[in-house]
Amino acid sequence: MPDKELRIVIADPNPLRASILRDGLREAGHVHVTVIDTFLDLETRLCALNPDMVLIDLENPSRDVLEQMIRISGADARPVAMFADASDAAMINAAIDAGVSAYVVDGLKKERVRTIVDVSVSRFNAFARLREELQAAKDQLADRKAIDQAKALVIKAKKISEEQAYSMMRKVAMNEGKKIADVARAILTAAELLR
Amino acid sequence: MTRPLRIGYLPLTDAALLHVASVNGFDREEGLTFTLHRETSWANLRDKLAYGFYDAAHMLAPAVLASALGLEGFRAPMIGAAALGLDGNAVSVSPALAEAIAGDPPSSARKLAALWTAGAKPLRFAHVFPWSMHHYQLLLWLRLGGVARDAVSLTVTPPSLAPASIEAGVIDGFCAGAPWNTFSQQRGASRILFPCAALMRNCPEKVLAFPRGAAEADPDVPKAAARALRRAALWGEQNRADLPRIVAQALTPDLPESAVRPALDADWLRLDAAATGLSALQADFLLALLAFAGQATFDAASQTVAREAFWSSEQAPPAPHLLGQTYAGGPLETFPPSA
Repeated sequence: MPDKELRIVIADPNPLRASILRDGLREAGHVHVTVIDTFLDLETRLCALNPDMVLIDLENPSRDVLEQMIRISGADARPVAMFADASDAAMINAAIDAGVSAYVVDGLKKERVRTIVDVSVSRFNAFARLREELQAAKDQLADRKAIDQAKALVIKAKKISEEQAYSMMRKVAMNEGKKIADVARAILTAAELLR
Repeated sequence: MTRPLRIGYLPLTDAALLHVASVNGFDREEGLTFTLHRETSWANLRDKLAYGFYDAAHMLAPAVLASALGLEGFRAPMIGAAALGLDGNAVSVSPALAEAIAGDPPSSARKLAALWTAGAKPLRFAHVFPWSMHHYQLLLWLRLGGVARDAVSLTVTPPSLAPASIEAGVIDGFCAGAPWNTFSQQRGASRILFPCAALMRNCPEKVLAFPRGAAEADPDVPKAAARALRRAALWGEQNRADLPRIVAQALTPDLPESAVRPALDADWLRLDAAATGLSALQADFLLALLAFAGQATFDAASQTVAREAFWSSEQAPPAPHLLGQTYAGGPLETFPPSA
């Protein structure tokens, strides 16, 4: 059963990822979730919030600030790596893979920590997939634009129809084992050179 | 056939020898292929090394001892195979504070002590990690002037955030490795008060670390990596004009070349071949500093662990100096020595 009183801080400069994780934690019943997205004077901000657990993205240089804090606050908080017995190795590997790390106040039940780390890992992975899909869509759009521009050049230079131009480009792509978008970009580069 | 070695590093000039070895093929000549991965924190380097995401890492020398002594709170002991240079750190303070306390370490610390009045807001200085030379250098400097405990608070600030933190008044000064002091000074956020070489010399700040288990199972790998680094340092001695180019290229995604070059030209940072060795005396010196900071006890058992964590090289590195005195071993019972 999730503890509704647990105070969790998400330290992440990426607003989309932070909100995906916050939603995940809320679904798991955690209502006291605060997002920190700027990192000047992180120590003072965190001290004021007095969280039970801090989730921070692995690429954040401010992880080192937390490393110091957990040691000057009288060893009452520890990095989650602390829980690394054999059964936790898989969890920590998954967390590093997903790019998230957790700092936990000492005395928090291990199962509770594990649940929150699991939620964080799955939400971070969901965000990564989302970003990949977004990138794929962007790439596709850029490809389409390059193909259209190259096609227009071929139509003009060879005085052929749009359909003929496209099938010419496709044939070259097939013969050279390239993507049609790469052929289109080569045409655009060549046209730029010969202008 | 060479053996791949995944190495994590932070953008600092003392990552230079890793890049030089890789660019010039000294790794391959020693039977290894370095692949270098830029990281963002010491904690990441430690964790990714512990969990096998990396084979070796650019690591704070005291963090290696802390892991070997079991101070990290989890068992992931590291060993140091070679030093990545000596004496790169400096202490920077806000321009206003620099105006008030300029001077060598003893005189600036005394001025700092005189500046603070009881009850006033403590001055805040940043270092980079609980177990770092940066931390101990700040502590030693403050002790030199007899600065009251209430007069300062120490925190960690990633060096990339240090200029903005000073500008925002969050910290009054920081101790960082090169080229971050230069970078911040060029931006006008801070002034270099003194290089830490003015406090102590021949001090290994970073080492190339391996997980102890892997290193002991196959000791030829750390030894080959250490040879590759030494060769990179020898090459650097003979190619002083080319070294900054390689380092600047490696670090420019994070740092402008205009900050990297002057930092490399600074006469205190040592990247020569003698600076890549590790010794039992250095292990003792670092243990003495951990003990000075209250993080460890200087006893025979800890001394054995510390010495085993630093793989001594055949060519002994220069002995550490503290305030001009050669360190002869043992704990720093009284500091400053004259007190």
